[in-house]
Amino acid sequence: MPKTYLSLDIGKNQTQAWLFMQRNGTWALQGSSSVPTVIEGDGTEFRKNIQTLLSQIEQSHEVRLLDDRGQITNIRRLEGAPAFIGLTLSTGKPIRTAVIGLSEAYSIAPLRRLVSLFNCEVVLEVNLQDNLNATAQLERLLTSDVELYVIGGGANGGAQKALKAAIENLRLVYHLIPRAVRPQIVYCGNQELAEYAQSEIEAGIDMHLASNIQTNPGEEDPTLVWKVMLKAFERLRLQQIAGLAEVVSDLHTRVIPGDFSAGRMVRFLEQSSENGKGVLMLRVETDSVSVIAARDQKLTGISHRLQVDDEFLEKARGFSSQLTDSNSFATYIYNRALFPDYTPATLEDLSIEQAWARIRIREALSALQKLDPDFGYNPSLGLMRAYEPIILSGSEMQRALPHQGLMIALDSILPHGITTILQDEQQLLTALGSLAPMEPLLAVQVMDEEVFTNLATVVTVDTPASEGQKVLQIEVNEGEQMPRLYHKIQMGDLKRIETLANSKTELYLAPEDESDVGMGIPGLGGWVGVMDSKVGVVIDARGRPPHLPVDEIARAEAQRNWLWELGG
Amino acid sequence: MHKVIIRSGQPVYKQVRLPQPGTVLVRTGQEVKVGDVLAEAVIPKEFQVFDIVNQLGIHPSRLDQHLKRLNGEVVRKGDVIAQKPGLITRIFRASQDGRIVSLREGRVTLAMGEQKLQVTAPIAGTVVELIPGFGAVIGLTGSLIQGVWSNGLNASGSFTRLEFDFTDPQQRGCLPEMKDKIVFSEAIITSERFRLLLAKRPAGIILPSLVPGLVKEALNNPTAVMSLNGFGDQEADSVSLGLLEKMQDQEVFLLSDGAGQAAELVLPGEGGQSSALFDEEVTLGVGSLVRLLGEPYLGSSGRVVELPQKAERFASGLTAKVAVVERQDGSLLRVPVTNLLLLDVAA
Repeated sequence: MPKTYLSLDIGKNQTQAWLFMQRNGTWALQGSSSVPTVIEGDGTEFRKNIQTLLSQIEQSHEVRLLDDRGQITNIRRLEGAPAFIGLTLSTGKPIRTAVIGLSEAYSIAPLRRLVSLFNCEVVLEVNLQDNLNATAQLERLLTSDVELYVIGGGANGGAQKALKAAIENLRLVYHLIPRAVRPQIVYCGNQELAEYAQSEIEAGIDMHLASNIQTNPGEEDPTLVWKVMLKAFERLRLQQIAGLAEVVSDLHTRVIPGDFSAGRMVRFLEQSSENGKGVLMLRVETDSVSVIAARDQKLTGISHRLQVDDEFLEKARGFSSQLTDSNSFATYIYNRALFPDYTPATLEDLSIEQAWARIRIREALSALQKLDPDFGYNPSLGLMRAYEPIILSGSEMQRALPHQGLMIALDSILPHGITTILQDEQQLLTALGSLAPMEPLLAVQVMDEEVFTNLATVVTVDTPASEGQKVLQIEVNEGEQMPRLYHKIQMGDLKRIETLANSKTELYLAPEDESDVGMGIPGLGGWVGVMDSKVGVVIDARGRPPHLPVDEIARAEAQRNWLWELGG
Repeated sequence: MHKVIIRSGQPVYKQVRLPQPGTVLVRTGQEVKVGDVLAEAVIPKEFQVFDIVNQLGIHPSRLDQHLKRLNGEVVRKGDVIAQKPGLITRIFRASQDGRIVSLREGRVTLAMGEQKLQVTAPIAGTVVELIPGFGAVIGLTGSLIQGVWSNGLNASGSFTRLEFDFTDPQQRGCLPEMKDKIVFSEAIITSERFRLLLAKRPAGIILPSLVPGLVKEALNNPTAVMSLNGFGDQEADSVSLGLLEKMQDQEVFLLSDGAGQAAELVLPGEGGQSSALFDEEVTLGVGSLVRLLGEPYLGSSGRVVELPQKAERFASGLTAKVAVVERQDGSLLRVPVTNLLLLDVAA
C-alpha cells in the first residue's frame, strides 16, 4: 500500500478530512470528504460522526481507517493505516483567557499577540505595574471565569516581587474555585521564577512552562511559547468536547487550533518567498473572520467575531450592490445569525451577505492592526504594507463566485501596489499545517501542485488625481502573434484585463507622474508578467479610500458596475 | 436541519446546571416545584490578602514568632492573626469570620464568609436525570411552542393574547392590565409600543418576530422576551396560533436557553393528544410543514410537496438542494432546503 497521511478539521459547520498519498516519491491530495459537525452531547454522536467521515474516506480510497466492524480503533494496529493523522479544531467557543504581565509594552502586548493564534478571547488583563493591591488583584482573577492564564513579564534575572505575588494569587485561584473544566496556566516570564511558579501553584499537568517570551528588552519571540500553548489548548478542548479525548487517543494524534495550523503554512510560504513581501490569509466563515499574516519571519493572527450593531449595519449597507432599506438589511443579518446554514437565494440576499462580509473583514483587519501595529492596515486607506500572495478561504469565499470573492477582498483589504490574490478552495492550508511537522515534504510538494486557485493579479493606482483624470496607460503583450492592446485608466476606474489561458501575459504599466503602481516611486512603471487567473488582471484606480457616491442609488449602481466589470 | 416543536402532549425536558461543580440536592424521580433548589455550590464570599512582612514591618526570618495562626485554621472576626509587639503594638486581625487559605512569602490570605451559588427549578416536574456535581434534568408533559430567539430570561404567569389595536387613536391609553402575565401580541411592536407594554409590567412578552431595532432594548430589560420566528415583520403560523389559543388564561412558563438563544413556551399538563412514548425523529420529507426563512416570503409557512434529488441554481447564482413548498394560498415555491425551518407539529 502506498504511504498516506490524513488530516481532519472539525469546523463549526463541517468536519472535513483530506487524504494525501505518496506515489513515485511525490505527495498529492488523493481525496477529501466532509460531514456536518456534531460536538454537542455526551460524545457518542461525535465519535459516530468522525467514524462516518473516516468510513467515507476508506470506501473511496486505498487506506484503512476503521476496524473490521467499521469502528474507530487504535490506528496503530491497522495495517494500511496512514502514517500519521493530523487533527485541527476550527470550532468551539473562544478560550476565556487572562494575560498577566509586568508592563503593557514588554509583556501584556506580546502576550495578547501570542494568545490570539490559539482561539483565545482575552477577558482579563492584569498589569502588575498598575499597583493593584493583592486583594483587588485576587478578586479580579477569581471573578473573571478564566480558562487559560498566561503569565509573562520580567527580564530573566529581573525584579521578582510583583510576579511572585501574582503567582501566589494564581495558586489560590487554581485551588480554591471548583471548576467544570480545569484551567490551564502558561508561564513564559522571568525564567528565574519558572520553577518557583511550578512548585508554588502546584497545578500538575495543568501548568505549562516555557522560555521567556521576552528574549531581550523590547524583543519578543512567541515561537518559544507555542509548544506549551498547544498543550494547554489541547487539554482545555479535551475537557470541553465530550468524546474528543477518546478519538485523539485512538488516532494517536494531537489536536491543534485550525488557525494555528494554517498559520504554520502561511509562515512557511513567507519564509520561502523571495519577493520580500509578507503573506496574508483570510478565512471568512459565517460567524468569524480569521486573519493570519506572516511578515519579516513574524506570524500574527486573529479570529474575529463581529457583534451586530447599528453602526456596522449602516456601514455595510453602503457596500450593497442592491438597494436595500435599513430594516430589511438588519432583518437579514439578524436572522442570518440564527440560521447560519442559510443560502442567499436572491440577488438581494447575496448582496447583503457580501456587503456584511466586507465589514466583517475590515473589522478583523483593524483588530489585527490593533494587536500588531506593524501589520500595516488602516481602515480607510487599506493595507499599506505589501503582502503577496493574499490567500482567501472559508465558507463565505467558497460560495462566492470568483469575481464576487475578489470584489469582497478588494473592498475590505484595499491593497496597494501589485499583489496576487489566491483562493484556497479546499482549505488545504489548515490540512497541510497539521501534517507539516511530521512530513515537511508533503506540504511542499502539495503546494507545488498549484492547489490554490489564482483569482487575480491586482494593480492598485495610488494617485492624488481627480475623478476622470488619466492615471495610467497599459500595454498588453499577449505574444508575438497577437496585436498589442492598450488601455487608458482614469481615476475612479476599476478595470479588468483578461489573462491568457495557461500562459503568461505581459503588461507594461506606464503611470502618470503622480501615480504610484507599486514600482517604488510615483511615476515609475515597467513590465509585469502575470499568470493565468480566474478573473484576470484587475486595475484598481478607485482611490484610497475608494470614492463612493454619497447618494444611495448611485452608490449601489457603482457597486453593480464594478462587479459587472469584474465578471458580471 | 433546524427544527421547532409546536405540539401539545409533548414531553419537555429542561436541563438546569451550575456553572461550576457543587452538590446536587435532588434525586431521580423526585417531584420539584418552581423555585426548588436543585444544586448548589458554596464558595467564599470574599478574600483578603495581607502582607505581614511589609505592613507590620517584620523581618521575614522572624515571621514565625509573630504569626498567631496556621494555614487552614478557622478564624473568627477580631481574632489576632499576626502581632508585632513594641512601643506601639501592631496587630493584624480577621475582619470577618473565615479561614486562612494561604500563608506564604509573608502574605496571609483569608477567605471570608460564604456565598451559595444555587440553581432552581424554573418549572415544576419530575427529576428525570442527574448531572453529577452540576444539576439535573426536569421532565414533564405539556403543550410546547419553541421560539428561535429570547433575551435569556425565564418567566411564568397567566397567558394572555393581547387584542389591542395600537393604531386606533380611540384606544390610546387603554392598554389592558397585564401585570405578571405572559403576553402575546401579533401587532408589530415598535420601540414606543414596547415601552408601553413594559410599563404594564408583564412577566414576559412573546412576539411572532422582533424588529431589529428592538434587539438591544429587549436584551437590556428585565422582562423576559421571546420571538417565535426571529426578526423582521413575520406572522405567527396557524399551528402556533391554535396552541396559543388553548393557553389563554392558563399558567405558562417561558424558558430561555440564554441571551440570544432559543426559548420554549410551556403549558404543563396533557393539554391535548398525548405523544407516543418514543417519538420518531421528525425529518424533512414530502408532507412536512415548514416555515420559510427568506424574503420575499419570510415567516410564511407551507407544506413540502416535492424534494428533488438534483440541486438547482438560484437567482443569486448559487446552487443548492431544493424543496418544493406549497403555501397556503396554493402557490408553489422552490426553496433551498437550508432556508426552511421544519415545524414538528402533531400529524
